[in-house]
Amino acid sequence: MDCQRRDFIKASLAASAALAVGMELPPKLLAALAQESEAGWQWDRAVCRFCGTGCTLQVATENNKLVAVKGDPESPVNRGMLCVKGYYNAKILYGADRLTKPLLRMSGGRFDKNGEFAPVSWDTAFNVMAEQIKKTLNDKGPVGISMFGSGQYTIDEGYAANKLIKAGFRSNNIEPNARHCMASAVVGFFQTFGIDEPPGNYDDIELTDTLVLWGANMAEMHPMLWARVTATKLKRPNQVKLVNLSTYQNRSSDLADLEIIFKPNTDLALFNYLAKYLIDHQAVDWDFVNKYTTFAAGPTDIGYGLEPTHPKENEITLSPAEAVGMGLGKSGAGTKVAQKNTGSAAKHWTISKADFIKGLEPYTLDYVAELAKGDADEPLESFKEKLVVLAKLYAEKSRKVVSFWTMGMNQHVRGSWVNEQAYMVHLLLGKQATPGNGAFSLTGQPSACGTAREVGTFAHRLPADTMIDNPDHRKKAESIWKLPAGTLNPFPGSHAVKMMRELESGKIDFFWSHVANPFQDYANANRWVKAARRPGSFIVVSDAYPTVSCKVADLILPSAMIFEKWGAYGNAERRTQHWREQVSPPGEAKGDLWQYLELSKRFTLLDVWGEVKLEQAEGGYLPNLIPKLSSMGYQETDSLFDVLFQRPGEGSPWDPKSELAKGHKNHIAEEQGFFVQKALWEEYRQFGQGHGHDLASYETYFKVPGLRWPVVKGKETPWRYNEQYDPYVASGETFNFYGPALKEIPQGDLNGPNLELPKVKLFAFKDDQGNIRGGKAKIFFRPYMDPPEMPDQEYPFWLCTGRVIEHWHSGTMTRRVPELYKAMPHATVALHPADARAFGLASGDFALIASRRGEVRARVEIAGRNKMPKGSIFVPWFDEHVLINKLTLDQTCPLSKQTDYKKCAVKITKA
Amino acid sequence: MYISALYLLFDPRVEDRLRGYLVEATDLELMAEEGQKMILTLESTDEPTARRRLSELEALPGVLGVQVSGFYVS
Repeated sequence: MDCQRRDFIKASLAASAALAVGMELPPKLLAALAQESEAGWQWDRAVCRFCGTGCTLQVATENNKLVAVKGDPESPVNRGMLCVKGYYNAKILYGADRLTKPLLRMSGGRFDKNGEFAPVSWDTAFNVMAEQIKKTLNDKGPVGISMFGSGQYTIDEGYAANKLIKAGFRSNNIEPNARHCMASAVVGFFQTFGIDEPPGNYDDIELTDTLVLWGANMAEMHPMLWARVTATKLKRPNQVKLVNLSTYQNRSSDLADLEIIFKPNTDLALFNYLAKYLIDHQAVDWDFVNKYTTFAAGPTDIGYGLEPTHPKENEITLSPAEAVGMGLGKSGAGTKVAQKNTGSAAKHWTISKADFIKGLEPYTLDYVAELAKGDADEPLESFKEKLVVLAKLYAEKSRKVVSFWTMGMNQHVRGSWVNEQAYMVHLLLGKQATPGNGAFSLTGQPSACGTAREVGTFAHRLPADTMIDNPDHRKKAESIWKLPAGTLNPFPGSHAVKMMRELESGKIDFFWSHVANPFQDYANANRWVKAARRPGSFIVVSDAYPTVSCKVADLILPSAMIFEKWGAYGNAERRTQHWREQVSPPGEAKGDLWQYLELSKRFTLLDVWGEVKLEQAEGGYLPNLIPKLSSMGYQETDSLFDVLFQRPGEGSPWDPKSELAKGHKNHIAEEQGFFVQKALWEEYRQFGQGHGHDLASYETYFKVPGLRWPVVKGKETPWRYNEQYDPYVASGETFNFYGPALKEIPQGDLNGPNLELPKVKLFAFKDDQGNIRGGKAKIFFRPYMDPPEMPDQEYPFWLCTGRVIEHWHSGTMTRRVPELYKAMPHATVALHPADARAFGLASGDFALIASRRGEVRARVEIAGRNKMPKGSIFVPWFDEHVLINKLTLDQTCPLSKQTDYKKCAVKITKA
Repeated sequence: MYISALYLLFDPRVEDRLRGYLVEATDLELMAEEGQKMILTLESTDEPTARRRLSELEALPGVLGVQVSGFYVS
């Protein structure tokens, strides 16, 4: 017996004996036990699969199985700790019902939409897919094809999917579920700063004096950031103030110094009250405002992203609250307003400082408090006092303030506006883009920033903030991708909600979903489930487990999960983190990237790059690229794979013995014969170099626990726009909001633009020395408006949906972890005790919840973690057996097209 | 090879003497302790040898009791 083995046996026996008599185990004993039990384990750095925080992991494997997970002590994000979901990262791989073979609906040995699922080979699966895509391209053109991806795509997956659909199939119908998650934040960034992504970083949590949460229950949704918030508060309890603004009391309330419960949608009015207070109390930093910002406004007759046939998309009648908030006074109530700008909701123009102040005039404490007070039991005076306390916290000159938000502000019919309002308050104060100060949009998903947004897997975007409808941007993409000029379709595709409506109407026939569960996730779900079963449509779902979306699919493809492939995520503080393949996927499951590559081999250039039907294009067709092929060195018989993914003589070789691979497998590279992920990364990063999206080399990321982009000359950027930290700001400028988008706009006033006046240029420009100078941010005035559906006599409750700490999104992974499942097995409905009593409901009873669109049964929870004000209920959406999205309304912010899941009208009865 | 874990309870007045004994005993190893309690491991060639050693230990002055808490045989 070797010494190590003997020591372990002794330690084990001694540990059992000590435990039997209630003695503590000394560190020496614990170390001996750990050393032996971990012998043979291979530890490696990886990233958490779940939320947008982006916690760094250490994962251990033994015999091709993931056996342990711990927080990486070197991680600047989570500093060695993990949340309850994080610790179960390994177990998500080992659910009993993993999908391991492609499944196709068949009868008589052939695809049949009404057939039963039967296992097929990958070859058959791809051949059937290719046949369906070719048929759709022929019948409906590229607008008939769509892909629905995710903010959980790895960066290389999102990049390859984007390239395949936009360059390969010349369709722009690719959308991530991040459209439902972050799109309003994106519009807020573009409209305010001209570039996407948060200027600040997580270090702000320790550096600030004030943390204000606006519709962000960080205690449950970003637990590791919450741990840092808690530590900050406990370390400086008297100095640090925490404010929780929400439509109901939640776990984040427990630590708060101030809790403000407001009515849904009235955050628009709260922000305007704050801005008015700052002006009225001389708290504005006019020097900062005059130097670095300009005031702006936009149209208000923009609808709610509902179907064009919905009455409120054509005309609304102003409520008394809206009339006052829009400066018409109470007598303006009842005014009919035609919705003329539903198709141009994002347009905007500069306004004067005087107009900005005039817009804010109605937002007095009395008006806002009466409108916004969300708890019927709270006295109005108490609510007013709280608003004043909040305003004073923001206004206090020497006090640093960070405002955080997530879905409460993003999933909002005026989500883009309310994002802009957060920047409005911080820019007025000059408390933006400095350590400990700033408005900070927290991401929901692990790579909403890194993949969905930076890679541009949206219907209107290309990588690194370039846009489909910009000829220069298309030219750049065609150059990097080595495509014939004119390959890219210049017309943005359909955004996520529109995509589903077009699946229903028959404009879209082919729909492929990845790393998402759209038929559980979309609002108004009943409609889309029916749409998926429409004859003529073909639905492909790539997933690791059977989901609601799999049930409505025609073809199910078994996907590898996070630690079964190489990948990278980019988190909410712009930190990119890469990981290696740790274990092999089960059965025949394969990475999504592999699936794109294999499908691309089924198409010759002649199949897809000839004359392509497209109604909007000149002459009704996209240009025929075939005559241009020879000048590019391509032949019409080349496959899309040959041109998009492995051009001869290019790409990196795969070497499992290299320092980078460290003996890890790479099932995709091994099969394709080259290091696909590295090749895609090195190509992708060309898009961002030199304009604020710079990334480091592939190898660099395996040496560190992530880097925050832009990474310039090997250095990451902790705070953007600030001379001290951002290499894009020239010496002597102090601040420069250099984002280039939407920086040439008309002048106007609160009534609209004056097109006779010249446009204003807010661009940053290069001076004689080549330094970038002079970019301005915009401070928007946005009025209060009601949401389109509010409680009434028939449907008297507000419904808010959201997540819980135990489960990730639709529960596909976390409901298969026994510990997480047991902790929260089913979704419950939280409501106020008085409301429960009124319907004869007690905790544990079943309630029937119904909206105009559908109904679900759920158990009642009265004294749970979420304490609702009267008239409001909360139901989480992780549980497919309480499919709450059957009730929600497919209303969106008209600028961002992001769905509002936080408010619609419902009724309750005892089930 | 016979390894056993022993739970030993002793009179604190003999603690020094007991520690001295343990230092000299190459087959006994102190693994954990708390107040008047110790967890030891005993490594012997076979079970009868282990039993004899256990009896010796029990007979030491100030040792109030010894209990075998687990063993391993190979």
